[in-house]
Amino acid sequence: MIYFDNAASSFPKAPGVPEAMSDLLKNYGGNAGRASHKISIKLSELVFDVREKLTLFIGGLDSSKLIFTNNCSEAINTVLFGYLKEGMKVLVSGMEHNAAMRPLRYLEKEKKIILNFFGCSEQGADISDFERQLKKGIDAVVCSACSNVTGYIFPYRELAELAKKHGAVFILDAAQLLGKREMHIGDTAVDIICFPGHKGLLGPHGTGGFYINSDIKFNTLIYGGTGSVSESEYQPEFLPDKFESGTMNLCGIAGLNAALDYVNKITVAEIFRREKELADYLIAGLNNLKSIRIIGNHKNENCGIISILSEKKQICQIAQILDNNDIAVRMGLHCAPAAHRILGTFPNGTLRFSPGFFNKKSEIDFTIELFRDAGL
Amino acid sequence: MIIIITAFSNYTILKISKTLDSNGITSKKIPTPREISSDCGMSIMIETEDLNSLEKILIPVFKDVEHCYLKKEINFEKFNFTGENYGKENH
Repeated sequence: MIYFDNAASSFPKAPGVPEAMSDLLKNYGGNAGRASHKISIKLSELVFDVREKLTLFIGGLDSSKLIFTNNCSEAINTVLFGYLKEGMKVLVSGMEHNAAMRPLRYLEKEKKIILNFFGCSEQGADISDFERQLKKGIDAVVCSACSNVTGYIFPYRELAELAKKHGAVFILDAAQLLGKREMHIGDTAVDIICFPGHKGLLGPHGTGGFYINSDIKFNTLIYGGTGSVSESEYQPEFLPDKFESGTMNLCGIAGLNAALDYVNKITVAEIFRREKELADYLIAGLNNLKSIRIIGNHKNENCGIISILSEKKQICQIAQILDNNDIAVRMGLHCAPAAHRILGTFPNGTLRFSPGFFNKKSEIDFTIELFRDAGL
Repeated sequence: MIIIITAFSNYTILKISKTLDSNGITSKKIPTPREISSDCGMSIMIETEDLNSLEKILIPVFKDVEHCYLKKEINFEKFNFTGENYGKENH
């Protein structure tokens, strides 16, 4: 299988991930933070270590503010449902994934939050319009770090600074960027970063989290046992326990631990260099095919996600040809209808390539040759 | 003497434990003694005769400490590292 669907989930996972997960399932019963026998302590230490590593990875200063969730969507939901109150004004990019848009639309309907959109186009974000919108008294900004359709990287540092200047909280969806670029958010005006563990970090499915990079407070989405202050029937207010009720995905966290060790060893800079090389190579190959149009401006900062259309075949036909040849891509709207409306590719969507660190140029050559053979 | 440190969460116990480790202080995570807490988690046990050094090491994590206890033969004495309060509150 040639795998070009890393924006959905990385594959293969980092070396050591399957082994770490298997080891945990075979050798560690019990539960983290729920007892004081050797296995439970070992699991608690595992969670603590990964929390510390992740905090360091994103440039955070306080690992108690690093909260584990089962994916980035759960992280975003926890933050949005916890922080947004009735009547609050929220500014979004218009390129957002449904991980943010669906909770926001629900809150718009049920809690009467007011949604505002700042200008975006195939070329990227309109920063002047962003600042103009902020003057409407915006309470919170929700913005992707990177579009999952075009790979466009938002200037999130600059946007967060502007949001801060205008008194708005900045919530960053880093689903497509963490692990692919250095994201030291500790010294930025980003208030909260939400992230998955299974994409750029090369970890297993069912992992993710958020980091609170400021002093903002909000309620949790899930209430229940935390292994702490068990004499109380009220949810603890201290972190990370406040947001981590119930048994965690310990197997996933063990895998994420191995993945982080690998990414730290390889370095994000090297991952960026390698992935950029592959993306540039793929773009060059696609540009040589007359019927193919690449969506988005790849001269801007991009994380290597390449969406295409063809004048000769429908994207579903191309996806079928690729699958028949064991090549994995994603076709359609990529859970981001808003982005496709802006790009003019709604409702059919695009065919998306998202090569990853482990791809080879020969795989790209094979794919381009296949396109030629198909008359594209 | 044997010192028991309790905290509100396992996260803080592990944070304190890491601080002790990095300062060369041997500690053990133990089930929280029932006499001092109804919590279901762990506590830290340290064997030391040098409370002054221990206090200096713990300064960065004092805010995370719930209580410190001296283990006696049949009970625990709460103290707060100010010296004069040693043994004032028995459990």
